[in-house]
Amino acid sequence: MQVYVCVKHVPDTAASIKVEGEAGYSEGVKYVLNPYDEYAVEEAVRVVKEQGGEVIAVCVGKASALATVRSALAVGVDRAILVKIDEQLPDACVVAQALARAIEKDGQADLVFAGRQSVDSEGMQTHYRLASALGLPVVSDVVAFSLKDGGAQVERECGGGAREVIEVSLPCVIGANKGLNEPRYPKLPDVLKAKKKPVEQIDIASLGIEKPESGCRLTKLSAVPDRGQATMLSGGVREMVEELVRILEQDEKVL
Amino acid sequence: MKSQARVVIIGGGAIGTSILYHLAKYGWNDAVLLEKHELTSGSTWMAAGNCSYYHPSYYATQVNMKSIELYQQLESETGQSTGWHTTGSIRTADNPDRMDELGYYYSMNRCLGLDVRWVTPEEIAELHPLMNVEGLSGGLYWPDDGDVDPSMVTQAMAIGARKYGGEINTHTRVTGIQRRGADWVVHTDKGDIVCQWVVNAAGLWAPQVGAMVGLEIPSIAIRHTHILFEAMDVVKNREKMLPLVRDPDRSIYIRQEMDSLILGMYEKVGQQWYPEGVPWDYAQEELPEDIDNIMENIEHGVFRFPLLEQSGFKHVTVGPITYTPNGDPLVGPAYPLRNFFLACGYSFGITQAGGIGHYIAGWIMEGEPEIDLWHLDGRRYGAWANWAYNREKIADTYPRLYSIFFPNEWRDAARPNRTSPIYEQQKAAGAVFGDYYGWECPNYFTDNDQDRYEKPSWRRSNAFKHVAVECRHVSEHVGLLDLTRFAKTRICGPGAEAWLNRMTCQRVPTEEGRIALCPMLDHNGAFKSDMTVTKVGQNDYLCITASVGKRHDQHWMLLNLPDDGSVSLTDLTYTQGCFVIAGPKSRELLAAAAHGDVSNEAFAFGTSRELYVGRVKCRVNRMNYVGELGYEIFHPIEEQITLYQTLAAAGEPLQLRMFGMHAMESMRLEKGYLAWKAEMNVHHTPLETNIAWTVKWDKDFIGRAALEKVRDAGVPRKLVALAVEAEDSDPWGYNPIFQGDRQVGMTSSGGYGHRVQKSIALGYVSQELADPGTRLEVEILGKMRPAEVVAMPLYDPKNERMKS
Repeated sequence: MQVYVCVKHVPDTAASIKVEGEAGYSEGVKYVLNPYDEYAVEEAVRVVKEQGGEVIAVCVGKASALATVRSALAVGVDRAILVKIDEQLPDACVVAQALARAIEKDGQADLVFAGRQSVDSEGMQTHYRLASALGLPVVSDVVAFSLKDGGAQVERECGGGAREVIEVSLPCVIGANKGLNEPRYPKLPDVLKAKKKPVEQIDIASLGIEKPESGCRLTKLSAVPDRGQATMLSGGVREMVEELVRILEQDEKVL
Repeated sequence: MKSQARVVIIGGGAIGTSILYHLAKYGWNDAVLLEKHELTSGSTWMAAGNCSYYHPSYYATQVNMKSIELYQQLESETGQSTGWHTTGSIRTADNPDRMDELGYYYSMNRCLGLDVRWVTPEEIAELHPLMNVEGLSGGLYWPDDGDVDPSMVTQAMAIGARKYGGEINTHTRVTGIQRRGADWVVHTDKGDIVCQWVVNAAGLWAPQVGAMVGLEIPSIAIRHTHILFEAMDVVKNREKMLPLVRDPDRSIYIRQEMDSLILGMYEKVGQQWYPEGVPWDYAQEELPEDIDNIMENIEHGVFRFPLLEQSGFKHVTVGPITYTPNGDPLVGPAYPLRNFFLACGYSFGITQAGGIGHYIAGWIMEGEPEIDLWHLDGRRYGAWANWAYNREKIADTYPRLYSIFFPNEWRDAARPNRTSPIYEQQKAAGAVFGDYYGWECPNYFTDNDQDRYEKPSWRRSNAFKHVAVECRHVSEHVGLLDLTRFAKTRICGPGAEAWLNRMTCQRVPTEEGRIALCPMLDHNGAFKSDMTVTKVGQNDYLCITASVGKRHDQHWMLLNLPDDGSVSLTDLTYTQGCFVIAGPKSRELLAAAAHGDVSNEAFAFGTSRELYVGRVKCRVNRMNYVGELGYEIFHPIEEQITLYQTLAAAGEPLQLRMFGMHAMESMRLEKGYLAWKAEMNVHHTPLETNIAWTVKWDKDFIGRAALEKVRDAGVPRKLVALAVEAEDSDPWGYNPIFQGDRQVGMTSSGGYGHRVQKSIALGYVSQELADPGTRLEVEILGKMRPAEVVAMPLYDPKNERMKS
């Protein structure tokens, strides 16, 4: 099977983001493979291990995203395509188109995995738009996946603890959610091998994407206001609980 | 937040918190700690938490010992667990030089009574079954080593500090520090605090905090990496925790963490992080990883621990840790300030936090450190050790943090810094240089290209034969030694004599042109400084002290200067050079080069004169440190080459040649002359030594009251010289001295005396063992060597040569 997996290079959720200019941020922070994409990668690798074939990671990002591409290669992806774009938080329309073109240019997808969302821009649109661009069905928030009768059977979370089981034809786009699997950790030999795996780097301009007429443009980025310092309560358990209730009722007015 | 405090500690990492805890515990409960974010948020959070006794320095090892003692009892005192595990630790060796180094640690640790054991590769494999011991020669095993959780241990000390009355203010950033009268005013974003003492424990930000009071602190952050592997059943199923392993030849450490292992390393290229200054708003954030940069060390880890190959990297932690030029911290009083302490530059902060908090608290409260902390003292660096120097130096130091510690290694990086004007002449004469307090100073001279680099070794090196030639030459002809780097301090003014007489236990010379050995003592009566005082004029004295102790000694003088202006201090170190000419032909040389009568009658031993040597007006002292007829020639530094040319020309028929530090060291051992921070440190008083005669009981001096007590209680130890039946490795210092199975003392220094052709150790033993002829043993690199107490000095016991 030819399985594509979309990965994104994002700041670690624990990173302290410093806004720069109107809508940018400082990049001197720790970056990781988008955590939801880790599930997508793991599932893609498992499918190919079982079915045979090839896993190709596709990433749209700055040149520095190569590090994340390599980390996907270190956990079982066979080769990768990095579509370079010089924008920190590009619009999902552009990203989805770029992913679609890159995949189409590369080969025939039997399956496409992506994370259900990225932890930086949290647009939650890319995989839907990608499916649309490729003309494929899409299921998101997937927590269980298996191939069945030439198609796939997936289980998705649909809020409030409810789950639904869906059968979907192939090829399709799967939006992976936490719980889909237990992503593996990279091992030294894999990390070494990953350095030698091919990564095709292409400029987004070469894909001939037309700027969408409609779409989103990030105009302002601002930091979440400080939550201030924690108040430490002291005294006996009873006093502390009473004080806590008083604060919640009177100061914070949440009760 | 208090507006007044006795002590303000800046920085809430493990170090600062420990200082607060100890001050409060020992009764100074009006101490305040300021932390700009949360406790541990600088470097402490990312520390691996290894706690071992290992440190190359005898005294720094004691700091580690104190930490381990504290970490094991903090929980019962504070209710907060420290996460302490006793795991033991192994340090491996895969080559003979490393085995020698371990031998030094073994012997030095035995001086401290530590449980340290040699282990064979088979025993290592038994202690750590996951380890591949291929290629190992052996190792040392410390069964009592362990690890802590750095955050928990800091919290435990914080709980303790608060319990004893210490105040911790988090989210309070220091914005400035000013002197106001006898006090410090610490400005913060939450208001000012007036205090008597300030402690800079600001870790990553210590240079910025130091800059607030005009200090340049050589400390730069490097991104340090350790890798936590995913859980392993073989680890999980063990009953006993695996020991910490350091394989220094592969620059890695490994220890158990929960059900897995942590691998840490010192890679070839240490990546400096914000070398110009870490941003104030950085707090507890992991830095981007760079696996490629540490790949070689990971491969080393996999070689030693093959199961790592099949274990995933669960988490790669990269965080900033501070590094100083030699990797040791910067602690103690900050020169030239009053009541401003440093406790920064730590790259092994958890290992020392508990101990250094204890010792710094004591140092602040008592005025003197309980143990000699010179190896860690920030004043070991002078102005040459600036930011740019450190930037260059740590690039060399970081990857070598695990390299073999040798007694005779002078690393090339970031040199030269300070040079004598005759540096090029020295080079042309085949000098092999060492650096001493930033100064390039020849260790020995050679015309053999292969010996232009001294091979670092615990055995006699390729320098040995050259040093032998130099010593013989000095004893038969005349040699010239460049001691331009001497610290030279002029003390003058109407109060100079009285003040100097208070500063030293010796009587300061009363006659112009007289010289006296004038040790300065601390308030405990122990050695503060080695000093020679020459009266050069009315109310005018030239004080010579050890070059490496310049800041230390001048700091002590500055802090003791009277406020009334009756004594003034001028530093002449960088305006005056010094040549020593020594040997039986040195008078002939001086006579040929200088104007005037320099006969023994006109220029007696122990006197000083102003002489024109050629055209250069010099201050010449008939005194030297090698025990031959000789002179110290102080001269204007800008006329040094002229002076050198004059001496070289006059010396040619006398076979004048230059000699170096190694020969001087060999000759001073033969003469039993004391060396600062070897024989002379905070653990010894002059009464234990062969310069007890410098103590003049008919006057007052700093340390007198304490010294009287020592005298009356009976002097506990005595300095002796030992002739050691060494093979190819001489004693160096910190060698245990045994009588039978009983350790009875420790060497303070040692080496080979080429003129007497004996391996010599100086050391302290109990009084009853100090008689010449007493048979003892000295342990060198883990091996016992027979030794005999010999009368001091070994060479020219009647000082006939010096006085001839």
